[in-house]
Amino acid sequence: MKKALSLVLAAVLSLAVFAGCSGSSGESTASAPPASQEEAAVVESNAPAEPAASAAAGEQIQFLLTYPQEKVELYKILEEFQVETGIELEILYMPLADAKTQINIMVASNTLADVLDIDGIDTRAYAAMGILAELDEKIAQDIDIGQYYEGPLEFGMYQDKCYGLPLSPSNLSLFYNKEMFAEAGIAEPPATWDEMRTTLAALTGDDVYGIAMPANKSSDAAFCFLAFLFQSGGTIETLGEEATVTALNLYQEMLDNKWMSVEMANWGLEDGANQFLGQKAAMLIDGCWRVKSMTANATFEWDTAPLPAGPAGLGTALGGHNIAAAKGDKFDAAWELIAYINRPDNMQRFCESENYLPARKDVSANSTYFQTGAIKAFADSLEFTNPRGPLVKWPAYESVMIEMVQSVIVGAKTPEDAAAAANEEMKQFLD
Amino acid sequence: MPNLRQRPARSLQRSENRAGYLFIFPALVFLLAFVAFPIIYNIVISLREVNVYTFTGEQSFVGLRNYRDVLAMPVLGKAVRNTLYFTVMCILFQFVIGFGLAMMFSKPFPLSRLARGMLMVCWLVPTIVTASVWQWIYAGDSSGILNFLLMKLHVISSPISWMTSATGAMWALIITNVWKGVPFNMLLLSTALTTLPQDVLEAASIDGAGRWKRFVHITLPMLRPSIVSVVTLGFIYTFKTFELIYIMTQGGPLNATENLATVSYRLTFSNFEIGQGAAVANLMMTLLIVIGIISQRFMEKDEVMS
Repeated sequence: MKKALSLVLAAVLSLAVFAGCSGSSGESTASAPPASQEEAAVVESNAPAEPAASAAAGEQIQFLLTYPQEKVELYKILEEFQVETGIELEILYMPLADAKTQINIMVASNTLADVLDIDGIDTRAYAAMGILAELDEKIAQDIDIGQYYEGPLEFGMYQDKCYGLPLSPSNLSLFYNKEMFAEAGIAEPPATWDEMRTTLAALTGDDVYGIAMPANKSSDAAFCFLAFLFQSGGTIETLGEEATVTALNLYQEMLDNKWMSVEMANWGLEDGANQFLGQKAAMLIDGCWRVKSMTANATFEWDTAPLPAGPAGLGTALGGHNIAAAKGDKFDAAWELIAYINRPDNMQRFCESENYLPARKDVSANSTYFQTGAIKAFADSLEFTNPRGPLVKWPAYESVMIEMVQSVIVGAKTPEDAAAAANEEMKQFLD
Repeated sequence: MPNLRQRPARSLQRSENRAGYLFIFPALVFLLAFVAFPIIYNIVISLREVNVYTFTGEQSFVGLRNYRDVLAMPVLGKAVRNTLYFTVMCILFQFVIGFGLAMMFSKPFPLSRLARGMLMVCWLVPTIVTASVWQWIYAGDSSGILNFLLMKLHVISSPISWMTSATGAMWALIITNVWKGVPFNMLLLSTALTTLPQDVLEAASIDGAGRWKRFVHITLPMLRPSIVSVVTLGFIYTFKTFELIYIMTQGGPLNATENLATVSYRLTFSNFEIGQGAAVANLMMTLLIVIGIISQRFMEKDEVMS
């Protein structure tokens, strides 16, 4: 009796453990698109309406997509792809936050989708895992790769081979409140760190911080810090060395002067944007995808500018998704889809509609959209946008960076000590 | 003669046994498939090298290396301490407040049923909502209503940085979880209170026992089985808290609110260190089993007593 009872108890307890570990993975990822569906659902599966035009016509491929149907233009492009090529597309929609878990499950059960829309930062891990098809040969045939910006391209590289092409590149730039700038008598957004210091000092008031940016325990914090790291001349491999201390000192200085709120230790990008929208911060560091909601929600005049140049010049960090193909016998059809989405006209349509940045220089240059308005600062910044990572063990590396930044913000460590500790810790996670 | 009588009895017993086995068979299959298998599989994973490089390839047996690795992580010790601290504090306050409310609601007073029903809302609200709302309440700058109220009431002179200091964030989580868990405790305890025989209490008061004495010497001992199960259940629920922490603090600032569930999740689903994540989950399970055995001892004592 006793034994049986303890068995049952043990069972219940361990069920609890598993429930605790697998529960609700999709509830918080700052930059993920809104999760409108919990589980993979076949959103769309349309047979081609016109005669086939492709060698792979008649084939059916699965596309794991993390963008919901609200991204209308993308879904239209996918529709047209089916009509033009005769390849039948089964779209498996999955919010980004769940996609990683789902891919693991698919890999473990040998049911991986043929084309994958993945967080760019994970491309290298999947490549190392051996589930992605190498694209170089196909690229050489079908794509003018010389037109691509270096940063977005590097995001999909592993051991000098390409495993993913940019789907929705994005970077961080500066949003600023024009009305507050006018009130403080400042004409131009800051172009250097020094100008930023004077601007921040002039803008900070009783109820207003000079700038809002993310530093919570999420990828957002690392995304933003990396921009400052690149501006001070740091690299992924040298984290914790002199340039890191310079960047951390800037954080420290901005906090000491109350130019930004210590609450940032709990803010993601979204929270920073809310501070800016609520006019609690005069400037904001945020991504190009925010332009749309900012246009819709801001009750004041605002504009954007590239991030100020640091001691080592201009710099910002790259985010966004990559599109990759799974290894397998449907690779040819999968590649057709990747190439189709990468066609300059399609790239332009999708990126313009959702404020992602075109990975190709010619698309950016030929588009009046990217050469005007709030998006211009982001598109211009592509020239000096460096990818986050990429590293196989990026999530672990990133944790080290976040811990370093947070320990400075909450005052647990000096910038020097925090940098030294991070330098020691991060080496094991380099490729 | 006795031989003749014994035989049918034995075979009857045997067929009864067989029927018994048949009855437990579905439950046994269920337990094996959905409880035993995952546990064993998880133990197997924790003894192998399962990470980003080996996920699709050969996963070699590495013995206890994953356990050694995770035990060497500074965050793990912190997570164990945090988990225990969080659990004990939550249970303590949930139980005391829940008990108080249960006692209160055991007396009829106007609108008591409505008030009790309203309290249940705290428990029914989805965690994602609770976590987001409390996050705004705690905001450490001028926008947080908690700091605003405390300052208006002159309890504090400058805003407390709830979510950005280590102790602040931990207590912010504890308060939120207590808020969420009190109705659960209250409900179970007030149900137990209604089952108490009133005559014993009456007899005691006739014998001259005051309110306090009645409570300590009669109500509490008679509620003992319910109390043990409320605390045990509460312990299990609180021990594996994940969503609340993941949404409110992501384990931050600086690992101050990292618990075993968030560490295991991070290792498994974010870092692809699946073997290490499994090891943490197993450590968690071991801790819970130990606690389960202890609480079972308590229950057995009760059985002996009654």
